[in-house]
Amino acid sequence: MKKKRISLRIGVIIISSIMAMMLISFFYTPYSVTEMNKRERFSPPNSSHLLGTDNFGRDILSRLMKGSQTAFFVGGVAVSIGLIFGIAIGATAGYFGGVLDEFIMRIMDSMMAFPGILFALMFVSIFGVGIKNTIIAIGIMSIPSFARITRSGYMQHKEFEYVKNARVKGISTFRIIFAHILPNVMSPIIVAASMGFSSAVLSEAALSYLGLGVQPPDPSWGRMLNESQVYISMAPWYAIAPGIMITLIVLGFNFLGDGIRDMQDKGK
Amino acid sequence: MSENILSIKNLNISFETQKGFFSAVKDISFEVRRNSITGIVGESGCGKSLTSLSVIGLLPENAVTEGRIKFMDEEILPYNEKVMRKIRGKEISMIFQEPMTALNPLWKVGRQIDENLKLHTVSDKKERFSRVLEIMNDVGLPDVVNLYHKYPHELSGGMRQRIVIAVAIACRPKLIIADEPTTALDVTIQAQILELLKEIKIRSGSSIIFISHDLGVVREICDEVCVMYSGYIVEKANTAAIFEKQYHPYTLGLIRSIPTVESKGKTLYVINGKVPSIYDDIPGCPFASRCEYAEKKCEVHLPELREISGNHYVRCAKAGEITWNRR
Repeated sequence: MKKKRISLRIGVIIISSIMAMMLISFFYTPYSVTEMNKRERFSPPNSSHLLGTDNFGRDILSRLMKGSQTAFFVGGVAVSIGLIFGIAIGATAGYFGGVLDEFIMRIMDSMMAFPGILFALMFVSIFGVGIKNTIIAIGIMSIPSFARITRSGYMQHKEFEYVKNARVKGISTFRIIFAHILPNVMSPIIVAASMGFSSAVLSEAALSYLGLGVQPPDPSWGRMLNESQVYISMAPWYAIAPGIMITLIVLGFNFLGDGIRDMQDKGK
Repeated sequence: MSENILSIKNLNISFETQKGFFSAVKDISFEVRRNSITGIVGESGCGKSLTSLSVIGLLPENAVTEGRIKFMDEEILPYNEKVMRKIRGKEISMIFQEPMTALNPLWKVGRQIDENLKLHTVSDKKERFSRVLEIMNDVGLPDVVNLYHKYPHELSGGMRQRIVIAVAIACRPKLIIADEPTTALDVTIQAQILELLKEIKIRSGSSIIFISHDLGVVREICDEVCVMYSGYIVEKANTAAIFEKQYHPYTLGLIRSIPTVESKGKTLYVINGKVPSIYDDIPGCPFASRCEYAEKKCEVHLPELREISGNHYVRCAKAGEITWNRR
C-alpha cells in the first residue's frame, strides 16, 4: 500500500527541496549572483565555492539558487495562463458541444500540431526577446492540452443528473459550468498542470539555451547551459550543475503528477 | 384562478435529427389540478419523461415543441429562457430517479438545498441556514445540524433521496415533477418516500406529477392517472376509476401483469411483442400489433381519445365494445 505511493514521495521531496532552495535564495545566496571575480575564473568545486565558478568567476551555486526563481516563475505563470484559457475554452467546448465544440477543438488540434518550440521561436522573434514573451509563448503552447482534458471531463459530467438537477433549479449556465462541474473535473487537470509545469520549465531552458529567453545577467538554468558549452572541456562542472537541476525539476514534477494520479485512482 | 395548476393541450414533441423528423410525444392533453397528484404511467421510451421536461423547458436542443402548456394561467410555450429560469426551482421543481447521482458529489448537502433558497427567495444567510434545517426536518431527516455539513457519499440512498426532495421543495414550488423517484430505492424506503410525497402534498398544497412504470405505486399515491404508450396518452381517468375498469387493452395488460397472491405459482401474464420504435411510421393504433383484440381497422385508423364515461378517456376504437376477460 505505502510502497505504491513512492512516486508521490519522490516528487514531493524533489520539488520541495528545490522550492526550499528558491525560498532561501530570496534572502541569502553565498555570493552575489552578478559579482565577478577575475582571479577565480573556472575554479573547480572547492570549500569556498561549493560548485565552482564560471567564466566570469561568479559562484555557480548562487546562480543556480537564483535560477530556481526563474524556473518557478516561468513555470508558474505559464501554467496559469494555460490553465485559465485551457479551462475556459475546454469547458465551453465540452459543455455546449455541437458545432462550437468542433470549431474550437479543430483550432486546438492545429495548435497542437504546430511544434511548440517553433511557435515560441516565432513568437519571441516577432514580439521581442525576453522573459515576458517567453512566458506568454510557453503559456499559449500549453493551452490545447489543458483544453482537451477539460473538455473530456465536461462532456462526461454534463450528462450527469446533478447537472440536470442544477438546471432544474434555475441556476445560470455560467454558474453550472464553473461552480458545479469544474470542481468535479479538476483532478485530471491538476495532474496535467503538474506535468505542464515540468514541460514549461524545460521549454524555458530550451529557449534560454538558444539565447531567446532570460537575458543576462539574470541567471537561468538554460542560459547557464548555453554559456557553459564553450568551456565544457575545461570546466565540465559548469555545465553539469544546471543540467542536473533541469533534470531534477522535470523529473520531480513528473513524479508528482504521477503520484497525484495514483492517489486519485486509488480514491476511486 | 382556475383550478388547474397546469394544463397541457395538444402537445407534440418531435426531434429533428440527421435521419429525419421523428415524433416522440403526440397530441397529449392533460391537466394537473391544484393540490393533487397526477400519475403518468408507461414503459421506457413512451415519452413520459419528455412530457415532464417540456413542462420545465429543458428539452434537448433539437426538440421541436408544438401545442400549449399553461402553467398558473400563463402560457409558457414558446419558451422564454428568462421566465423559465425564474420558474424553475421556484414554481416548478423536479425530483430525479437516481439519488446517487442527482446530488453534486463535491458539495455539502446543506449547501445544495441552500443554493436553491439563495437563488430564488431568501437572501439573508442566517435565515437561510435555519430554513434549510427546517426543510431537512420536514423531509424526515434526523440530526439535521450535523447532516448539513455532510457530503452525499456519506449518506444512504434513502437519505440522499430525502435530500433531493428537500432541494425540490425548498422554495415551496406549486408543482413538483417526480420522475420515478422510488425506482432506485428498496421497497421499505420506497414506501417511506411515497408517504413523504403525500405528506408534502397535504402540507404545502403543491401538486405533483408522478412519473412511474409501477402501477402499484401509482395506485398508492395518485389522484389521477394518464397511461402513455408510444407517445400517446391511451387512457386517462381518476385512479379509482382506472383500477376499477380498464378500457384500453394496454392498461388492462399492465394490470394483468402485476403479480398477485392468487397468481402465485402461475405463469405471469406478459404483453407480447415490443414497443414500436420511434422510427416506425404507424398510421393506425400504435398498440395494434401487440393487441389481442386488434382488427383490420385498428391498423389503419388512429383512434381518437374519447370520453367513454364520466371523465374517463380512452384512445381505442373498440373500447366499450368488448368486455375484457378479467381473472
